[in-house]
Amino acid sequence: MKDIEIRKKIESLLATQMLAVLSTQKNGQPYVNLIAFAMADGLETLIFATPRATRKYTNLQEESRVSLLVDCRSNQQSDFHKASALTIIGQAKEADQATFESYHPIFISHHPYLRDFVLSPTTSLFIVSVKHYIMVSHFQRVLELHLTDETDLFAR
Amino acid sequence: MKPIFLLDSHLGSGGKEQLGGKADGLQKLLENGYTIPITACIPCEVYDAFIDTNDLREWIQLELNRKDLAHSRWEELWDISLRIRNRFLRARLPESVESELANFITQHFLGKRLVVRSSSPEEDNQKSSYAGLHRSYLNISGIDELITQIKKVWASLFSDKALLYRQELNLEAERSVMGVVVQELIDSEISGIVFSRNPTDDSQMVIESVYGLNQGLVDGQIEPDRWIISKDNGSLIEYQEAAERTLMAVPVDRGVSLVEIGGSGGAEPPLAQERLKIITTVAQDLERTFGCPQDIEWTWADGQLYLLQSRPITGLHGGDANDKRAWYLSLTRSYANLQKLAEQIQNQFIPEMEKEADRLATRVLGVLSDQALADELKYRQKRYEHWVSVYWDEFIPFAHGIRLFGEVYNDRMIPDDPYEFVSLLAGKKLLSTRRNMLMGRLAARVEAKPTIRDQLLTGRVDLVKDPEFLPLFDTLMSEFGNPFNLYNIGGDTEQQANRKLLGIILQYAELSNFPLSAPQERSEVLEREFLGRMADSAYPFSGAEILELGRASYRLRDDDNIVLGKMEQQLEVAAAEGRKRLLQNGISWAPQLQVMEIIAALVDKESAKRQPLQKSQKVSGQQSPLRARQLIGQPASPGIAKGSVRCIDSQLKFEEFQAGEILVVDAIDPNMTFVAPLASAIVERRGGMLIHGAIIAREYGIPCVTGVYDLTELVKTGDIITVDGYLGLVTIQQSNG
Repeated sequence: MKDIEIRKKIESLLATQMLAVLSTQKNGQPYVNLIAFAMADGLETLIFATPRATRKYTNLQEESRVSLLVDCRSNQQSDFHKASALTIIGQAKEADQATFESYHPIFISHHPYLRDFVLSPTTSLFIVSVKHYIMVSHFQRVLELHLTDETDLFAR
Repeated sequence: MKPIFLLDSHLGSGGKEQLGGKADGLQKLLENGYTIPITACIPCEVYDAFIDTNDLREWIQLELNRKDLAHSRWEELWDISLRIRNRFLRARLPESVESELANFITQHFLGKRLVVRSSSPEEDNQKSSYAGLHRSYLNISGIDELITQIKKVWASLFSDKALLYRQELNLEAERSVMGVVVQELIDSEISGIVFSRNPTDDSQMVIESVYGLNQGLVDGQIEPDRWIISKDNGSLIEYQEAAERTLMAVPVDRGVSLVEIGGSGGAEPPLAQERLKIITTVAQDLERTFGCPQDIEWTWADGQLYLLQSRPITGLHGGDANDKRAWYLSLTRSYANLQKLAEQIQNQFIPEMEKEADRLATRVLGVLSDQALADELKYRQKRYEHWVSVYWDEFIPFAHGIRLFGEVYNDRMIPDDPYEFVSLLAGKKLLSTRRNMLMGRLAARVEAKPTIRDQLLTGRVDLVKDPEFLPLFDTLMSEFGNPFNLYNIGGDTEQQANRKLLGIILQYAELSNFPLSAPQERSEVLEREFLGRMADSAYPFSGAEILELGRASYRLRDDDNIVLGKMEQQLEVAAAEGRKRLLQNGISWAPQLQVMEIIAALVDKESAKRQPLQKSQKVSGQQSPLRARQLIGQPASPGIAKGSVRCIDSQLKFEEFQAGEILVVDAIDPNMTFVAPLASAIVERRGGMLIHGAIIAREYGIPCVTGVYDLTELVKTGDIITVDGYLGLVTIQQSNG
């Protein structure tokens, strides 16, 4: 397996999926939501939007480190050998006006039916800078693609 | 649709999707007025019901998709096939199907002996006729046996052969199905096949015939008489008489046996002129009926010609010289063939090879001229190549003995663990474990007498004054040689090679417990049970005989490498002498030279001096952003271990291996397994449950995972990994960067 091969697989999965599970936390309590996302600037950046009155928005104000899950399961038995799942480790930052202007068209082109939602003054766009991807395929084969020169976040 | 029904001339064709290719062909024969044995069909939907009732569909998918099959060796495909077969044998048919089958057999086949044949919708069409990829079973009686054989026919949808040709067969677990043909067994006088068109000459047809059942002919165990007939006018072009006509396949109490024809029965060719003519006409008619050349099986009993099947002729093996699949298939041998091979290997090849290696070892190389040394090297290279070719042609096919035993064991025992049979083979004194045991005894002397340690650190065995150590060391050397000589790439002197070996022995001495072979009480119980269940089986061999064959195959699979290694050592000893001389002549790159280069350089040193070795470019080490977290292989020896990785790469620096490390290798052979007692686990890129790494790991009861195809690319020395020998997982806990 070469870097380029796994990059292609990850890009393909991100390009074909609409939804991700976003994990935030508050006071050590994990909290997950289903969110609409889009890939921007290649694998380095993902974007999602959320109303500001939500728990995830509150959580993100206190802890910007996030994890997301994107997968291609179909809720069939065949998922066990066919499906791939991608765990994403990164940092989410609320977009300022300039960032919003450059990124929200990408989000809308991916989710045109969410135009009103993303343009609402009560919605914030978040930019996730991805540190690394963890790709699971063949049920238990796990490969990681590290985009930054980080130390092992999960080392014991 | 009923779970079983009789084929008859009024059923109507077009049901190949449910009947499968063979049943569909038989149906068409009936419709066209030909006589076939009483034949019933179990349609493909019963296979589906069986799969769904037992939740097998996704389980098969997980087996097939554990890794990309394109990365799997044939041995791994065989492993997958074995696991599927065993799971099928353990699964139950839906109760309603079982009772309908029982009623049907009582109604239509009472007292008859049966034949069960595969009938896959993908087989026997004009594009593909994959004869032999799926299975047939003859002379079945009783509903229980019938059900067992039906399950085996279904499992053969995923036989190793079918998996090899999965693309051509369009094999997909999600939608591939299998019908089954159940026929009365015709107790034939003569049988045969006819190709309505000779595959090598369009203007001819070929008829082959034997006495008795067709089994002996299609299995290749009995040489048939052969007639080449003109397609134009039906005249005989050539008759090829069988070299001997002494055996025939007959149904016996259970199964089928080859027996002497007896009396003057075999004096005449099985087919007389009149019957030859009838078969010729049938073949021509069928080719017209089906619109393409046909491969027809027929049999004759009580004056009646029965057609057993008719299918289009297609080529199984393409002309691609790189397609090794036919060779893999040729490795599957019969019991009789394996028995012959065992005798030849044990009584001829191994002793001859050992004798030759011993003879070479007595030659004093130091006194030879450079030219004579070059000649000696040439000779040794040639002899080594000869034995490598014997190894591929004879020894490797003999490894099928393990598989044959495994299949028989699983058929009789239907165990939960499809590899339970290996426990009956293990612990039977392999040469590699004897070598390790000798090294263990040397280590025990070091433990008993700590002064020996200091003496050994010098690398000079002759300094050791212990009365037991030296004779033991001499035994080790005379029986096995120094394995470090085998991979003497760096051109070590004997003392340097000895120092490396002694280093390993010193590490053995540090082990708190030298690993012993796995306990055998359980295997003894299983052995008794297996032999008991073989007592009334239909095999052409006894339980003790097939077990003995399995054990010989298992032992020789490891031992033959050790003996071949001795030949290789003798080649290497001569190469080392050559390198030494070249070094003395100022050729500083001599340690890197291969045998043929050494020969050339010894003959023409001046040219050799002008041709410095091209140094390989070292790729600069930039850290890859890709890291493995968990890799999948096959669970080849149970257990779990966590530790630091030592990758033994092409440099083969075994002396660097430290006790407690996890051995990570591309492929291990028995000449390298002296490090196994030091390892806390073994992981091998090469796949298979019966490869050397797996064998030695099971011998010592250490976890082993095999078949991790990108292992050596993704796991590096110094990584901390967990090896899960139960699930076949390698988890990288900490990367060494």
